[in-house]
Amino acid sequence: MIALSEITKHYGGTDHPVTALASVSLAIGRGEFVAVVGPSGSGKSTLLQIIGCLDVPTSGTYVLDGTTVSEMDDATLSRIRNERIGFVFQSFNLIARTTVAENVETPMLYGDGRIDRARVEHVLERVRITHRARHFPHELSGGEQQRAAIARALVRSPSLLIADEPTGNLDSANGAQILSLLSELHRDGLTIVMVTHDAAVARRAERVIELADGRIAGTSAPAVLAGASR
Amino acid sequence: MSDATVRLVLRTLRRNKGRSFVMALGFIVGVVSITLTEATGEAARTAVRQSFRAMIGDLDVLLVQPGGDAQRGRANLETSITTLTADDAAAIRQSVPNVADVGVAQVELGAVVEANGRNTTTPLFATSANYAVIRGDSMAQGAFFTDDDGRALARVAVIGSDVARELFPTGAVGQHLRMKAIDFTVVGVIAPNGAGPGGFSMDNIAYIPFETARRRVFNRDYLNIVNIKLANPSRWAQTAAAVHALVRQRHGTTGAALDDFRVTSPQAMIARMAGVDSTLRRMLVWIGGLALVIGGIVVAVLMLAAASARRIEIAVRRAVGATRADIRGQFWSEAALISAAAAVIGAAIANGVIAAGAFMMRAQLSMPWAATLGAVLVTIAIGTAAGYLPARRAASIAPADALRAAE
Ligand SMILES: Nc1ncnc2c1ncn2[C@@H]1O[C@H](COP(=O)(O)OP(=O)(O)O)[C@@H](O)[C@H]1O
Ligand SMILES: [Mg+2]
Repeated sequence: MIALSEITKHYGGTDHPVTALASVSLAIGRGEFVAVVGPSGSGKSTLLQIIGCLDVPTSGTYVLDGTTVSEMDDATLSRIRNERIGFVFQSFNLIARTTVAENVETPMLYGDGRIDRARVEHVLERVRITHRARHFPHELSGGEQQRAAIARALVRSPSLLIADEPTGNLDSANGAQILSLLSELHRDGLTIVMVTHDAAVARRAERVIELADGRIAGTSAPAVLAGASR
Repeated sequence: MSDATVRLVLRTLRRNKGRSFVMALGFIVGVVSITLTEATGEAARTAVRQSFRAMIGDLDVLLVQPGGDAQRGRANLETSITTLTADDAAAIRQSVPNVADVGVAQVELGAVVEANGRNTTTPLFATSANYAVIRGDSMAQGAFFTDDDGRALARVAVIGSDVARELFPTGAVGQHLRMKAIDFTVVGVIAPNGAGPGGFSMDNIAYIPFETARRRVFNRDYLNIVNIKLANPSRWAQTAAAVHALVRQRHGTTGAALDDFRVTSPQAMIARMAGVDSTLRRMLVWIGGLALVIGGIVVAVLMLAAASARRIEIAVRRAVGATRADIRGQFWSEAALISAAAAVIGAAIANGVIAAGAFMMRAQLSMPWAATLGAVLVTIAIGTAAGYLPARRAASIAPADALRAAE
């Protein structure tokens, strides 16, 4: 489903270039649950943004579902994000002064512009946040905000979910709730790529990719990683 | 601007009422002040013309009155300058081109009129028989006196409708009244003219024949008014100059010596008043325009601030599928819609003020639709222009950077 080959990402001008990713090649199959781990600054977020079509690599090719996205224009990338990709962030990033239901509707504005209320209802139920539909983000707990954000990510029925440290701002109980929700979604067929710091969180994934200095330092089944860290 | 964008933008404006109000304020003030300035200007112009018409009658005339630069212009209808005479009037009639008719008047401003045991005080005009025609007056009852009445030194009078109402509630023509210790028979009543400048009723007036007054009432020759009806009103300035030259010559005023009379044109007086009025008005319109420009600057500044304050919102919208064009459209619509709403609110407020003013002060105020529409369109244009740069700024925000900054 996802095929990255020799993806390099430089930041900054030519005088002080920062290499966030250096020739990363990677394949992720449909329905996989992949965790990306690595120290801070190792390029995890950069990798996810490229996979999520939010950013483009400096060089290399990215093929998503058979289409080469590394050379698409803004409108096409936006449509791909809208139809095929859902995003979940560490700091939830619900739009302020906008209710949970309105946040969840937002991706529909950029599809055909029609609001499918039944679908909104459905995803709100799916993440068990229906009772908060008319509330504003600041009225919600962290766990509730993240569930609302997941509902927003799901509303257009994407095939790929990108989650950058989704439990990073949550206590362990709420974090666990989010993780089991992600596991459920994965069981239902969603492809998930998730960044985490936490080895216990990474254990939920089928495969763990370890980044260091913008390069893939290792790929392993979580059991192996868990064993190594013990 | 799609339906969905409009709904989204209206929601944003509604949920940020304070900010929306500040963005709208300059535009509202601008549209209201331009509309009210236009409305009151129009009303003032109409009022000036109406009061002049009440006082002078037909405005296509020239007035010659005693008292000029030699009196420092301080002459009035009761001047004691005795140099302006019926012979001057006859000479003007004979030798100045573009003169259709000439009327003369002697005036006493406060004459006591008695009848039926009542009395009232009124300006008394002793005039030639053509005076009513030159003024363009029409008669409510009876007729104006004639040249024959003048030649016969007839003791007849024509009165204004106020005097008629006061003294003869049941009909004035054929009745008798007494002025300056002389009995007159009322032969006509002038149709109402309304209020002149200063609000005094121009229907409180009495006319008697000039010849009668000259021999029997005032016992003097000099005139207070020569009223010249113009054949071609547009050539009033040339005619005024010719009249001026002739009277100056007849009065033996030569060289640098100052005039003892003056020639005035009601049209020029109105133009002068309208000129003062329009300078003021132009200033008020400028102030309105300035408010619109300030409104535009406020919108531009607040929208620019919003573009950076709402970086996360923008990045999230981009992440869930908004194109750069969508973001640009959203921000641009926000500026355009707030300015359109402000313009409409301003027009509505002005309309309310005008309706209330027209009702409470019984003023002839009406909505100056053309000016208001112009102000509304200019407002929307300014608002849209003000939103252009902020919208581009918002659209250029890189979602990856904004989201990373939020972690
Ligand atoms: N916009 C940017 N400009 C310059 N350097 C950047 C930018 N974004 C990321 N970097 C750098 O790229 C590297 C990788 O960043 P990131 O992908 O966020 O790492 P991680 O998510 O693993 O912490 C870091 O060294 C970071 O400082
Ligand atoms: Mg990161």
